[in-house]
Amino acid sequence: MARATKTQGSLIGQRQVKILMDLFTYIVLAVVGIIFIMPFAWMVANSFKDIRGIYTYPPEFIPEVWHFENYTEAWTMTHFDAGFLNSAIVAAAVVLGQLFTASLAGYSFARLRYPGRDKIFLLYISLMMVPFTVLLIPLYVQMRYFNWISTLQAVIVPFLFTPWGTFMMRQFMVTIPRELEDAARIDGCGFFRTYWLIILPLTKPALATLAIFTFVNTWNSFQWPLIVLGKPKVKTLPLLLASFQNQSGMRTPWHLIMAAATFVVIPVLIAFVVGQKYYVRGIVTSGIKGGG
Amino acid sequence: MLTAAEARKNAPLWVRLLLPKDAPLYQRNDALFGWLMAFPALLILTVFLVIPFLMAFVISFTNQRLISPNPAEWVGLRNFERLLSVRAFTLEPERDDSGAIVYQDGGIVYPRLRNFTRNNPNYPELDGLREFTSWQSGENRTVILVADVVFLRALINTLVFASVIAPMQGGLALLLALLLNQALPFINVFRAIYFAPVVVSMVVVSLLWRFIYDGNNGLLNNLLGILSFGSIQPVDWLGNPFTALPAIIAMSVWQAVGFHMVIWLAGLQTIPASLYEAAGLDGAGGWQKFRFVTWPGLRNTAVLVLIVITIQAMGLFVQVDVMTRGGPLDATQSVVYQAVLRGYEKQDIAEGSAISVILFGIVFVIAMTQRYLTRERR
Repeated sequence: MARATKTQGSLIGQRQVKILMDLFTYIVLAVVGIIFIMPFAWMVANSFKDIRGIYTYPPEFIPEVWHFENYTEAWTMTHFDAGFLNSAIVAAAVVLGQLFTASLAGYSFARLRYPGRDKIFLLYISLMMVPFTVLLIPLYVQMRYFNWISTLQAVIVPFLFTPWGTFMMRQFMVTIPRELEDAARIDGCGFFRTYWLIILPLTKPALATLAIFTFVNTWNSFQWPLIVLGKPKVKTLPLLLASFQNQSGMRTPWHLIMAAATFVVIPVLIAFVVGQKYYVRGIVTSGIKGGG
Repeated sequence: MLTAAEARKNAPLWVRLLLPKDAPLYQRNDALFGWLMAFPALLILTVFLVIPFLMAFVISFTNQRLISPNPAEWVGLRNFERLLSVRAFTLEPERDDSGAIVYQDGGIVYPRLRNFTRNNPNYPELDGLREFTSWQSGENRTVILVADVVFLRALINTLVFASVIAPMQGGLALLLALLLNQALPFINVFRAIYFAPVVVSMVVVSLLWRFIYDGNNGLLNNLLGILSFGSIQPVDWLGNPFTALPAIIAMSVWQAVGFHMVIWLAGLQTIPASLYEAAGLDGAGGWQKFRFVTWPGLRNTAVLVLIVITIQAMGLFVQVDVMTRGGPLDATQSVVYQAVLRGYEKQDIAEGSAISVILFGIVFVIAMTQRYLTRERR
């Protein structure tokens, strides 16, 4: 009681304190925000400059002359059209494949009762712990054995499963009321039709999370494609971008690299803006990925 | 609930023919379809994860090379010994005939190290080893000899990278999460901004920061120059062995801090508001609320965040490959970069696999630590 009267009696009231605190919070938020935005602003600004313009002092965030032709030049210089197509094929195939295998297996683990089910499920999710880098060399040997080096299936087929996604699907499907399924079964739906017509439509949020998460990861993937995709015509965008910097002999063409980097980033940024909610949910679930 | 008779009636013909009639059919149906539906995932998992994983162990005990006319042989632990053997060796000073220590140019003269490490029959265990580091101890000099200087450098760099980045990134992510965990207008916009680098390809981020870290007219040097009115001289951030790894660490924190911020935010939201109200009634201030309500409630999240960062950090590769290729002077070599360099570029898959197995061992220990720390207490 004494505390309350004291606050009310002071010169600045609680309301003003709150406003000041909020103002301070916004200032901190904005300063931190600049640290996160500035590198990207710098990337876009330099993608419109010519080679002399990028070395000016003090740094210019708004180009004096806008060189839009950097984009067409960067695009043709490294055959980005083929790169875009390769990246799109790989991302689409991996996303669809993972949605299919993870939702089917998730349904099996969540709903169907059979001996050994929970043991397999445990084994399955414990494999999340194996970091991909451990598989790098033996998987490369395997790809050579399959004769898949420099083919797109080498970056698609080994990724058509996902222990993490399966786990997420299972956890989601367990919460769907069983009555819905039983009703469908009594109406004569088989297992597969029940899965397809009843379960999948109800699992949309989890499917969206898996889709956007897998899309971003696949689109950005670099390490494995670097090893198995040697020939230029199968290279995906990150590979082309990385090889860009070593290409021209004289001076690194930073203005063109920044232009190329900008259009590599655009598809993921769109995906992120559209599906931010689902992406963030994916990360919260992926906490399990660390092994738990 | 479906009865056995109903299930039998609904089952497709081939299921009814395939399965024996005893035991309730709906159970057998479940088993069949259960396996069938899990099959695609299990098949790909077995072929592309379990088999390569086991192969990594098998190959690491051989001398297999990718293109070699000779068949592979078992070599036991030789690959691991070559990568990991470390010996301390004490050099005693040269003495003249009277037994006095020989000095030259103000320093003690020691016998040459290579006399011991090159075909010296008295020191077979030192054969082929090279100096990693050395220091003075009294009048003697202690030398650390290793078989593979570059790999040990890579291992140390990776461990340093992981142990610096884990508290730094985890701590900054927590600060950002606390900042964002308030009901203010536009807070979601800031969350999206802090998060944006996470979805951007590490190749793009690495290229962009290589540009920013440029030794002459990079943005960072220019900004430091302006802010210090020209008193800070330009630094070749990635070309200097002392700044290259810290520069990569700073960039990596910037890229991934949003990821862990989101995990912290999720953890913060599990703490019931009633606890804060109760603490407020007891007269707790902001710091006390954090210390006694927030932090205890975040314990498992903290372990999770630290472990996830550490495991991710152990896989350090893209930044090194795009920005420094392990240089300058091996200052940014990493374990995975070495595994790829040797297993793939030099086609020595046995050694590459041995490095993978060592990496797995480290990650396994880290993951088990997490399991231990977050176990259910009774």
